[in-house]
Amino acid sequence: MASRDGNVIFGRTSAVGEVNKKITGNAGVSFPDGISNFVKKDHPLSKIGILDESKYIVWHDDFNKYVSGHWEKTVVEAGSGDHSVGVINGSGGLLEIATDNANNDRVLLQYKGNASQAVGSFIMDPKKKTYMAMRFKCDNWQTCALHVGLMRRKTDFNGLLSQGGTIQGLGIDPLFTGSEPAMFAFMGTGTGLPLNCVFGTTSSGFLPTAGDITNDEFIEMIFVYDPNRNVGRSIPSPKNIDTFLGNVSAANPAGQLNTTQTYLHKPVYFRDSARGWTGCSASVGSSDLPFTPGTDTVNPATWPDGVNLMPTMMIRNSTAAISKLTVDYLTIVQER
Amino acid sequence: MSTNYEKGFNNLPNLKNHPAGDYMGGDWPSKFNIIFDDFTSFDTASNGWRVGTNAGSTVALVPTSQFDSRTANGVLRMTQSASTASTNGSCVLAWSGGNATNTETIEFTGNEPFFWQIRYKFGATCTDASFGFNMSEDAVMDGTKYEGIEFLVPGFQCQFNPKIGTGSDPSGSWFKSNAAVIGAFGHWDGKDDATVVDQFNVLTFYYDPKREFMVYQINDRRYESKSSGGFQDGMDFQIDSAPSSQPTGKTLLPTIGFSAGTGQFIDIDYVMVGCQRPEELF
Repeated sequence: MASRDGNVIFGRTSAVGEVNKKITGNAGVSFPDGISNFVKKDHPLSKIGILDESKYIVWHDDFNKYVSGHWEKTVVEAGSGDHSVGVINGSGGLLEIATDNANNDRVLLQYKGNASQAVGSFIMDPKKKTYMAMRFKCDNWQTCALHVGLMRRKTDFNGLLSQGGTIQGLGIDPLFTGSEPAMFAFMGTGTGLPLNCVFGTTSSGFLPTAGDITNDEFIEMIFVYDPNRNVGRSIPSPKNIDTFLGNVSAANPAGQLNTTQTYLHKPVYFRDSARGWTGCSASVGSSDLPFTPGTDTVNPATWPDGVNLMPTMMIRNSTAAISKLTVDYLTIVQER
Repeated sequence: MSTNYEKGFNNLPNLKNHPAGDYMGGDWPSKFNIIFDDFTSFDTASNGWRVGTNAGSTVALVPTSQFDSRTANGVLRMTQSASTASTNGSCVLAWSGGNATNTETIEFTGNEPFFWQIRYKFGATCTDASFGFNMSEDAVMDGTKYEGIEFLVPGFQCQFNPKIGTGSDPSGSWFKSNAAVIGAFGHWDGKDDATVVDQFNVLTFYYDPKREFMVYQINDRRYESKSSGGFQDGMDFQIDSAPSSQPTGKTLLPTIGFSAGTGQFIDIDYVMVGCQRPEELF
């Protein structure tokens, strides 16, 4: 039965199904016989109504709970020795990571499951879609370096720019101070900054300054990597970014050098309470497929080729006071 | 036959309103905030529950040999003290998220769907056994004992007891929301599914924010719960539009309590609680 008088139900009708028609408020689509997403219709499991769990690698933590044995924690604390990590009261499940109260104290968490040390669950495949989403806040954006996303295993760290690792996700070192403010990196290595988006530069479409994001204000970020940019493909824009509407053209197809073409290759989106999703234009305009044109070869200087990465959260303070990073959720999804 | 989407599907708004809207080929994990525990394993270090036991009461997985034939795997048994009946020998599970104290993580916004479901079975020997399932603030069941329904605390509280009541005897089963008991649901004569012993029951709650429906269901039967008339067969929904009866804006945690005669027990197959995040938060 298919009903649009409330929940939409495909499949058999039951007594409960009839009742469901009355729920008109949040009309969803119900498939009592199940739903699947197997690529081949003749796949043996495509008929039994379950999703292909292997289609995407999904790592998601809502932080309704924190299991200390699942994270490798590296701590530097020179103050009173009372850093803390744990879930606090709050909507959505909030993980609070607090440093000690001496200058340059740090807390680094890297996911390890039940292994003895953090293990690389993700390797960036330039031919596969990758998504990363996070919602978080910091109690003092201007005095903290922090990272939320993917990074290689690192137990000795002094910061982001000097840690010599590979950063995938958000990195701040720190935000809105000086000439090197926030960075939203899809690839950060060594002391260089081959970033996709750097707030505070003239090439950025969104230029937050101190005060745009207040202390203890939650912000969200989404990173989208989509290598499928065939010529002629329509690329609609996200809200507030009408200038990036367009099609991929034959003159500047996917895989060619960066142009002003509207490729949604590695865009980064930002949202806070004052605006909807805002594309960080520098991340679109200065990005391109990582392949050398005409080849399948990626440049290891701009792409973490074969590097084992793991979910990571880190905060380092730069004053003699406790600093807190609070993460609502972290999601990492990669197409197999 | 199931419906197959070879290119995948998602549960997001389109790209105009969400960066991954037209690209993601699967469900977006942060759209809902859900705690689900199938009790295929249980240890306090990783399950997220704080356990309260008294006078030798226990909370532990049921040995495999005792599985109900309809239960695939994982059943958590809460067993009353063998020596002390009622509150002082009771058991409590409260969400702590890995902390030593209760932790609230699920918000009832009033504007987003809010739901829970729990599958449970009273032991065959249960007579006077109060089983409570609550979504409430920390103030409810903040201790380690189950002391029954607590008045004047925001939240949703359900309690079932196979003790047979008659007429006006309220010992059957109760529902309460926020500041006062707003109704009983289930048969007052004690014959309701919710209180039948040695039988797995599924309790489901769903709050629909658009029309402010609250749906309570035991197995395949839905109950009205606002009136004082008790069980009303065939009444599918409760419309509870009075703000004072809803813990709107409160962040809640699940608690499960069991207080009974000595040695009696209840089995929990699984529990799920959750809410949809507001669109600006996923």
